[in-house]
This record gives sequence, C-alpha cells and structure tokens, in this order.
Amino acid sequence: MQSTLIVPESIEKIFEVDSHICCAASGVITDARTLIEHARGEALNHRYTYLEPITVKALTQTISDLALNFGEGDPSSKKKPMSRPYGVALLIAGVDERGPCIYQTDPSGTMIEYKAKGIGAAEEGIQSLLNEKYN
Amino acid sequence: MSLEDAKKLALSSLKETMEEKISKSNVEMMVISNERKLVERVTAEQIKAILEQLK
Repeated sequence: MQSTLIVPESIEKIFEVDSHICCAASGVITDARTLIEHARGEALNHRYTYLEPITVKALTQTISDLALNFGEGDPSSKKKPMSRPYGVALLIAGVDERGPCIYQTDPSGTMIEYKAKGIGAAEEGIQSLLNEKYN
Repeated sequence: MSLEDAKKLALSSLKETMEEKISKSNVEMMVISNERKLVERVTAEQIKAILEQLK
C-alpha cells in the first residue's frame, strides 16, 4: 500500500455479483464497476425470467459482450456507447449446476475457462506456482 | 484438492509473489463452497489463522 494513512477496507477489488458468483478485478477498477453493475443486472434478470440462478458461463458471456461492443454500443440500450475499451481484466468464479468454475475476461472480450488462475501484477509468478502445485 | 488446501495454495502463492509482506490487512479473500453455493467473505482473523499455518 502506498500510504499507511489509507484505510485498507476502502479498496475494493473483489465483488459479489450474485449469491453464487463473485468476481475479482485487476486494472482500471472503475471500469470493473461498470461491468459488474451490468453483470448484476443480467444475473437478476435471469433469475426473474427463468427462476434459476444464472450459470457462470452465461454471466461471463454477458460481460464479454459488453467489452466487445465498445464503440458500437448495445443497440437495445439507450446509453451512449463506450468510446474506449474497458481497461480491466476480471476473474469470475462461481458454483453452478456444473460445479465450480473460473473464467477470465480481458479488455478484448476474450473469455477463457481455467482450473486455477491469477491476474494482475504478479500474474506470471502466480501462474507458474499454480501450474506446479495445483492438482 | 480440498477447499482448505485451495485457500492455503492461494495465500501461499500470494505470499511468494507480493511485493510487500502479506498480512491480514492487505489481502482479501472470498470463498464459494460446493455445498453451500454462496459467496462468503473470509474474515481477516481467518486469513491470519491460515497465514500462521504457512510459516
């Protein structure tokens, strides 16, 4: 932490999206909040429409769609399109009917499923440790 | 790998790669168990207990 005067609890990097899915962010955290607000809406809408919790894959797809749509905007929404890509990588983890899973998304909208994954500054170090020790 | 093992692996990887010294105040952890399927925050005290096991 840069300063001892910062209140550590005020730095939020892990967010609850739905009761069974949470999400960690790395990069421009303010962009993450936009994406997560969207994801929360989608999760709630899915519950309301289908009376079941959304799968982690479907939720990740809604986030990737938004990330991919920068510059064009979502035609179904009146909101102005985003003029730049979202500068944030998200790690979306949850337990659904298929069991536990983790997806990673990046500013390009790519989504990849992992068994174990780290993102952010120490990503490479973490990933090599996980490669070694995860079983 | 059990949930407890996974928590330990996550914190030990962070411990090795973080620039500053890991403590209960500079890491945050959330856990979703297969049984409960609910997002639960791991409290600072629980993190401290796991960190002590790693020593």
